[in-house]
Formats: sequence, C-alpha cells, structure tokens
Amino acid sequence: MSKNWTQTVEWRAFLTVLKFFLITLISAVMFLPFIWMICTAFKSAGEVEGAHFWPKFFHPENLKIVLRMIPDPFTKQYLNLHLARWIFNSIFIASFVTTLQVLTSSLAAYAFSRIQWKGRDKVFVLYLATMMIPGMVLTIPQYQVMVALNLVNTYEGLIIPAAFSAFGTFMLRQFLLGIPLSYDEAAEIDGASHLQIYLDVILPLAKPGIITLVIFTFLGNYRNLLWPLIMVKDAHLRTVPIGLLTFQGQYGTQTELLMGATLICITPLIIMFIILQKRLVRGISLGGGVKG
Amino acid sequence: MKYFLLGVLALLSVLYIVAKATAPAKAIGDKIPLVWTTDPNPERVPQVDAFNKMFPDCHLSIDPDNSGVMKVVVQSSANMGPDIIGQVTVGGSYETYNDAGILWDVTEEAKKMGFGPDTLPAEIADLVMLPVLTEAGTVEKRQFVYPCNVYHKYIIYNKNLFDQYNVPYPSQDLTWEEYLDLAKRLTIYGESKEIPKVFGGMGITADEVIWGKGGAFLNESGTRCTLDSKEAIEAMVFVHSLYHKHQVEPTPAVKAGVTLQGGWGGNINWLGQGKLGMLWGARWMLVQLRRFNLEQEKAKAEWIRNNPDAEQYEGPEVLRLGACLVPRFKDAKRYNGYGARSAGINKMGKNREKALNFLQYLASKEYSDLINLGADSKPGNKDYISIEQFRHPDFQGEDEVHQVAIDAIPYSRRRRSSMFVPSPVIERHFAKVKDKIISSAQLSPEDIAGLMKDATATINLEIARNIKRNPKARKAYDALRKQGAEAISIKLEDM
Amino acid sequence: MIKLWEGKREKLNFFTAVAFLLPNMVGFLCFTAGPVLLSLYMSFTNWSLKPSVELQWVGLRNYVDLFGDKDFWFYLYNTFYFMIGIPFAVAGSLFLANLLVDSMYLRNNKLRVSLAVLTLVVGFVTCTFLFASGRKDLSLILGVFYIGAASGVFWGSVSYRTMLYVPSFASGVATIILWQQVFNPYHGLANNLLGSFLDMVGIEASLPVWLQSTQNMLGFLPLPKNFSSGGFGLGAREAIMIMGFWMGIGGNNMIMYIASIASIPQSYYEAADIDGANSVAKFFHITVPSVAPTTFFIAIMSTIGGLQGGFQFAKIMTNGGPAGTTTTLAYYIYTAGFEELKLGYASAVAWALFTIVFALTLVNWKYGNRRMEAA
Repeated sequence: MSKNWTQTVEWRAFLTVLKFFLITLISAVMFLPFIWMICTAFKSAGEVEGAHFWPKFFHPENLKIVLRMIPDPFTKQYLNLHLARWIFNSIFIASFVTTLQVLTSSLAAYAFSRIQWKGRDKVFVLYLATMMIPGMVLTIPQYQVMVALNLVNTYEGLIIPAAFSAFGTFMLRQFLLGIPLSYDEAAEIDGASHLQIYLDVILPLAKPGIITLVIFTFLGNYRNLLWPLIMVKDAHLRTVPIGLLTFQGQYGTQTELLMGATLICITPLIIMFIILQKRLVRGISLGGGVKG
Repeated sequence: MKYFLLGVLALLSVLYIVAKATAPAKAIGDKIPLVWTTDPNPERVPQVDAFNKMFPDCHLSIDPDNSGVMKVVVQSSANMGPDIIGQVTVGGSYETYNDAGILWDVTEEAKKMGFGPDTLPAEIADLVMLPVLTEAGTVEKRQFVYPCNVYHKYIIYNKNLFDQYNVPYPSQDLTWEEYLDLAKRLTIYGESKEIPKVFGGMGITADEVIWGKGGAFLNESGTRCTLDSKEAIEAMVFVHSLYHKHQVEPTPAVKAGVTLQGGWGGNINWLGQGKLGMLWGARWMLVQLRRFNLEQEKAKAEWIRNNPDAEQYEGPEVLRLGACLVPRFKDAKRYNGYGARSAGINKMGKNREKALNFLQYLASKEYSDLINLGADSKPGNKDYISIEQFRHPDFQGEDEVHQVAIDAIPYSRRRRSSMFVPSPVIERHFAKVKDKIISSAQLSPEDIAGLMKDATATINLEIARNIKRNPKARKAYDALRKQGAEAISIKLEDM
Repeated sequence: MIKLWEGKREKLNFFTAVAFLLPNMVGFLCFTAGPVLLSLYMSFTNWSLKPSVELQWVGLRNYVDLFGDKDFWFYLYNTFYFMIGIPFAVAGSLFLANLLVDSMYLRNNKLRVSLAVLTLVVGFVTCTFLFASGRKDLSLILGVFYIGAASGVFWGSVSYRTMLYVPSFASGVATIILWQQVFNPYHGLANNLLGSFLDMVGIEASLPVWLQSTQNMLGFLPLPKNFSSGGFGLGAREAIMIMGFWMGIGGNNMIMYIASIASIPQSYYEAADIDGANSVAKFFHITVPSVAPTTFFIAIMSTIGGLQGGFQFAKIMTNGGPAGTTTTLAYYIYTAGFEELKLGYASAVAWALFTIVFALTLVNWKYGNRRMEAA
C-alpha cells in the first residue's frame, strides 16, 4: 500500500519541490553574509557598523576610490593600490603552484596507491606525519632554506616551496584508492607499463580528484598570507592578501573600502570556480574511461 | 590530457615572461635602497616622499607589515631583515626586537646627529631607552629607536552633548569623584533600560588607575612583578566597581549593544555622532573626528542653502570638542599613560649608516609638520610640539584638544619593562585577570586579590626561571643587585 | 625460480615507485623534512631568538615545563572544544554533496524556463512591494532567496554549489569583520534569529553576548579555576564554532564529497534500482561506503586542521580572549615563539600536539582502513 503511495507522480513532484526549497534556503542563508559584504562596499564610513543590509545612501564612489579613479575625498590623495598587479601576481603564482602540485602529487599518489612495494604504507604514514607539525615552528628553518637557495623576494620563492605538498598527495591517493584495481590489471595484461597506466588509465579516471585539487590549491595559494608576507619585499611582487593590508591602518580598518577591494579581488576566483566545478558531476570519469 | 598539460605549461611560460617583463626595473640608479617595514596606510606616502626629497642619495620604500614582530624576526634570523623597522611599540615589541638582537644601539650616533633623548620632552626622554648589560658588567640604558609619533592619553569630550543635558564641562583638575559624577549624569537611557542612548564616558584603562592608587606592574629594576601589592589590588577592585557598581564604563556586552567594530573606530564615531560624552584617547582621534567635522559642515552649508529665509541655523549642530586631563584620586598624583610607535635600525642591515638619516628625519621639521598636520598624535621632537604647529588651516576650534595634548606631558607614565620577562607575558596574564573582572559582576574583592596574586606568581616564576636558566640574564641580575635592585621573589637556590 | 621472479618484480616495482615519488620527494626533503627534524631537535634545546641565550641541550626540560604549564592544559582544552563541531560539519557536507552531485536540471526544458521566470516574477513583485513599504532589508533577503531559487531551477546544482562555496573565497579580515557584526549581542543577525525563536516558543531568557562572554556549553563541568569558565551558556567559543561551521560546511569538504560521489560507478546504483532500493537506502548502502576513503581523508585532515586551528581568529578577532577562552595551541605556539621568543618551548608544544594528532590518526587509520576494506 505504502509502495503505491510513494510511487505516485504527486509525491515525487512534492519531493522535488521540497528538495529545491530546502537547498535554496540553505544556499541563501549561506550566501547572505556575502550580500552583506556587497552592501557594505557601498556604505559610508559612519554607516558601516549598522545592523542593516541596505545602505541608507549609496556611495558608488567607494569603488571608484578603490580603483583609483578618484582620490580619497578626505586626504585628497589616490590610494596606494595596484589591484591589477596584485591580482595578476596572485593568479600567476597560484596557477603555477597548482600545475606543479598536480604533477608531483599525482605521481606520488600513484606510487603510494597503485604500485606494490615493501614498506609503502609505513613510508606514507611518515610522510603524512609531517603535516601534523604546526607550520608556525617551521617558518624560520624554511625561510633559511629559501635564503640559502637565494629565492627570497622572487616569484620562484613563492612558487617552488608550495609546489610539493603532502596534502595533495594524500588527497589524490585517497581518490586513487577508490578506483577499482581491475582497471590497471587489465591494462597490465595488455602489457602497459606503470607510466602508461598512470597517463592513460589513472589520470583520466582521477579527473574529479584532480579538479578538486586544482580548486583547493588555486584557492589556497591565491589567498595565502603569511608566507608571501615574509618572503616578499618588492612592491611589484605583492599578492592580493598583502595588498589588502593597506586598509588596516594604525587606528582601525576602512571597512567599506576593504569590502569593495575584496569583492574585486575574489571575482577571478568565482569565475574560475564556476568553470571548474561544472565538471564535477556524476559519471564523468567512468563514463569516458571504462569503455575499453 | 597530455596535450592539455602541455598547453597549461605553455600558458604558464607566457605568464612567467609577462611577469618578468612587467617587473619594474629598479629605477633608483645608484641611490642607496632603504626598506622600511610599517603599516602601509596612505599617510606613509607623503612621509616617504619627503624623506627621499630630503636625502636625494637614498631611496626609501615601504614593506607592508601588520603581523606583529613575526615577519621581521623571521627575516632577521637569516640576516635578511629590513633596514628600518617601523611599528616598534614601547612596552611591547621594543623589548622583543631588542631581545632578539635585531636593533642597533644608536646612542652615540643619536647624540651626534641630533636625535638623542634630549630632543624629546624631558618627561618622556626615557621612552627611547632600554636597559642593557654592558661589557663592563653593569646595567645601562641605551637608545635603539626614535619615535614616529607619540601619544598621551587624555579625555576628549563632546561639548554639544554637555550643553544639551546641562552638565558642566569637566574641570582641568579632574578628580575621580568628579568624573564619576559627570559620567553618571551624562549617561542617558532611552527606551532600553539596558543600553543607554548616550554614554557618559568610555575608554578607561586600568593602567592609570593602578598608578593613581600608587601601584605598578613591575618594580623599578624589573626584578619583580608587583601586581599583587595592596595598591594594585585596590586599583583593580576600583576598576571592577567602575564597570559594575558605578556603571560609568560599559562592559563589552553593553558596548556591543551599540556597535562591534574592533579597535577605536567605534568609540570615536559615537563621540562624533553625539552618543558619547567623554572619550579617553589621544590627539590621533582627530584623524577620524575631522571627517565628521567635514561632513557636518557640509550638512550645515546645505541647510543654509535650503533655508535662505531662516534667521538662525537650526539644523544639526556641528561637533564642538573639548579636552581635559584624565582624572586623579583625591590627594594623589595624576598619571596618564603615553606611548609611541617608533622606528629602529636593523643591526645587520647593509646600509645601517644611511638608515640613521631616517631617524634623523623623524626628528626633523619636515616630518614633524606632516605628523602635526595629519593629527597623527605628536611628533617626538619637542621643538615641534606647540599649539601653533598643531593647527590645521581647514579645521578650526581644535585648540583645546591641541593644548591638553601638551598639558598631559608632565604626567607621563608608562609600564616599566623588565630584562627578565617579556612584556607580552605580563600583558597576557594581566589581560586574563582584566577580562574576568570586566565580565563577572559578582567578583568579591577577595576574588580579585586571588586573581591578581595568581597572575603575579606566574610572572614572578617566569622571571626566576629566566635568571636561573640564562647565564647572561643571571649576570645582568647580579649587576642590578649590585646597583641596589630588589631581589626576586623566589630564592634561586630553591628552584 | 618463483621466488626470484617475485624478487625481480618487487625490485622493479620499488624503483618505479622511487621514480614516481622523486619529483615530490625532492621538494619535500628540501622544504619540509629538514625543518621538521630540526624542530624536533630544537624542542630538546633552549632555542631562543635571543642572541644572549646560548643554544643548549636541555633534555626533557621543555616537556617537563609543559606539563606544569597550567596555560598549556587550558589551551589544549580550548583546542579540543573547538573540534566538537567538526563531525557535524562533515556530515552536513556529505548531505549537501549528495544533493548537489547531480546537475539537478528539471528534465522538461520548457518547464524549467517557465518555472524560473515565474519565480523571478513572483519574487520581483513581492520584493518591490516590500521595498516600497520601507522594509528594504527584508526585501533584499527575500530577493536573494528568489534569485537563488530561479537560478537553481534554471542552472541546477552549479548555481547552488557556487552560492555555498563563495563563503570560502571571502576569507581573511573581511569575513572576520562580518562575523563580528553577526554576533553583535543587540542587533546582530545571530541574536535576532535566536530572539525571535525564543519568542515563538515562549521562553524568557536573556540573549547571549557571544564574543565577549566566557560562558560555554560545557560550562557546567567542574573545570580547574584557570580554565576561565563563565558557566553554562553561549559564548565566544560557540561563536567561533558557528563561524567555522559556516566556512566549513559548504567549503572544501563538500567539493571533495561531490568529486568522490561523482566517481562512484553508476552501475552500483543501477543494480540497487533493480533491487528496488529507495534513495535513503542507496545513500547509506552505496554512497556512504563508497566515499569511505574520502571520509577517511577528511577525518584526518579535520583532526590536523582542528588541532592546529584557531590561529587566524585568535590573532585578528579575539586576541585569544576573553580571559583566554579562544586561545588555541596554534596561537599559543605563535605567542610563545614569536612574542616571547622561546622557540624551543614553542617547538615542544608543537611536538606535544603532534603526538596527539598522530595518535588520533593511527586510530583513524585502523578504523578507516577497516571500513574501506568492508566497502
């Protein structure tokens, strides 16, 4: 009896509507603080603290100040902002790091999951263990390594140390573990070498994992603050998070300008995310790769 | 996939070339580069320009740093620190930088180049000095920094509000009784019975109360924490009563009822908007208050334009400011805190001799004028501290605020520092006590005494440990003892 | 014979593995392994950034100090406290991921467009009316809801994922200022919602003051005096946990689960369909076991992240207060190392923390691997 009832079209439609309603509600609630950021970017300095979203008076000139189209009306100076350069630097560094990390991590993850060798899991645990040390105490030795390699205050110094991560290896390893072993066994019987299996079988199958890693690594490096802050000296190497420090003066934060600048700076991230995450849907990997 | 990766690598190479190609060539020629770590706020731009104009053979640039001491400490651990270290705060990072051996002792150079302690007002000359152990085995005070700006704590009040509620202005010899009375009379409740619509006063700091009662954080030689003294405990009991019994200082919870922006931004806005009568602060608050002045003058002009027939102005009043010294206890001395954001020179810097020019510049008229005009507190050099030099052509009626900034100087006092315990440790333990006092109304004087004693014991243990474990600290301690310092509270043999 | 063949194969495998590991390991040994070992060594010394302190091997002194350091235990307790919320956030992420892994397009194209347009029109009328009657904020909030619904109907999960993930972009100071406003006791969003809820169910209670309060949900426990417990209630710790929940649930974990569910072979579900399983059964019997490796990964990373977390909030938002209740070990390591310059001691704290994380990971490993085998 109940089976009949749950099979009806009305019940299904009701479930779909409920699903849409619920997920819309959750998304909207999660999104609200972001709306508040947008609203704040158009408020006056005195109004920033208010509890309301909608600005009493719109100040679109806030964005103009941030874009250096007009000077700050009070100090009559242009702000010392170079958003284009910062965004370029952040994108450049983040994409370089991401590419290198995907390469090194996927290779290592393959060795830790698809090749059988003695002591593999023990080495892996040791490798993993290095992530468990709070990075704060490693800052000084790491910086000294960078000085020894003459990489301080260069793009290379921001890119190279970030390109090798235990995090990426661990994550991809877990994804690879989810791929049934029968695929490589079949390839091996066909006489494929490990390199061929890696390139032709595993990488295409691990696409969701790689896209995920790309999203995380890109995002994490785009907004990384502490390491670039220590490494960078020249103005032309500054990244977005360092640049945004400009709004935190000695006597407080220029919240409305900070929000405007933050919005401009995260726009590239949002575009990147929309493009990448479209590929994360059910069946992408196994639809294409398994036919043979 | 393979071709995709190759494509990505090609794209990255192009980006790399673009990045390298668009990096500005170091257009400083044979000028000597100097790097100054400081907060990168817009005020720094004219300050850098003026320096580069004054010393054409140098090229000063800013390296942004809002992260406390970490950046400079890490960089200096590999001899890569900046030439000039800004953001040195006396009673905080000054000791830390000096402990870390980063700062250069400029005592002799300062005398020659005219930025020694004698250029500061006599009452605060001590500001730039720190005790160090000399080769001869004595403890002496040496200079490592020069202030970028100096603030003194005093009270700025909103005269409109006092007039509106018929409360007399605070007197120039303010006592705590008078302060409590004024603050209570000016605390006005509207519809809400919990949150006043007008606060009488705000921004009391415990330091002034402790000093006023005759207490101190450390003894003079820094060998003992004295927060467990009768005076200090009495002071903190008084602080507790300010929050809970007299309610002349809002607890964070009440304050948050009005706003929650961190730092001082909030309070200053309230003063400007007429929600707050008296605010403990300093001359730098004018930076923000002037924005109010500008907006309100604009509103007034508009009102007059819209009401051409009106006989007198009836719109919202333009902010009028008054100022007075912080209160003192009856029959006791007045103390007000002071501090400075200072700059020091990196001992290991390649161009440290040239960096001396920067400290010299901080004592110059050009720099002091910029500080004065921007109301960024006061310059260090006493020659440039006067009402005439404080005035800004666009902002009238600030004379009282300027005057009290000068009047406060004779009452200067700041937390002592110790060679044996970092100031952040004292602050961490003291802040814990303070937070508890502020957040719990039920604490009895005995509870407060207990909290203060616990904190003091922890700090004193830290002092004893340092002396016991670090031979150099031990040496300094022995030298201080010979110079008549008080012994530490724990017997070293017992440890 | 067979043995030799096996040995050869193993040898080959070993060298292949080394070749695959090499690119990663070069950098790893250079930038991570060395500093890690150095910090272990330094935790047994009096390493200080003060040049006046000569480097000395002090044996276990730092660890002995640590045991006697009341603050260490207090901050360790805080650190664990903040981790209570993690399992809920992970479960929430899995739930959302399961909803959003499909593209969620309505099958009928015409229906899709007309529904989206209808939602927009209704939303526009409602919001314009509200806006005109002066309730601008309500109109704005409802507007977000309607636009979210319309784009959700039209674009499906792509739109929802973006809305959920955007909070992760807006990190740093901007977010922190934002949350200070949300937790404003008198007109913040948190208390507005809580207040109207209490009104609805008719409970008379004073609202929490959040970031300024030392109260906490475990405040009734008989804790040592220096743990600054302000009694039972909602306080700064809960505020930060809620904030972490907001940043965590729609963030990386959700994306990881989406990717993981996306890789589950469709045939598993088809087989279940034939057996007549409903969607709840499919979720628990296929999805949950299949994403076990990801869950294992998330569990370990959350443990690591949780135990090392809280630095940014403490540094920018609360300074570790009130009364130390939001100071985590990560922040303590920072203050001990870089404000008090006792890097040897900071290293000891770091390695004590490491021991805990490592032990938890091993437990996880055993449990997680068993579950994976079961799958």
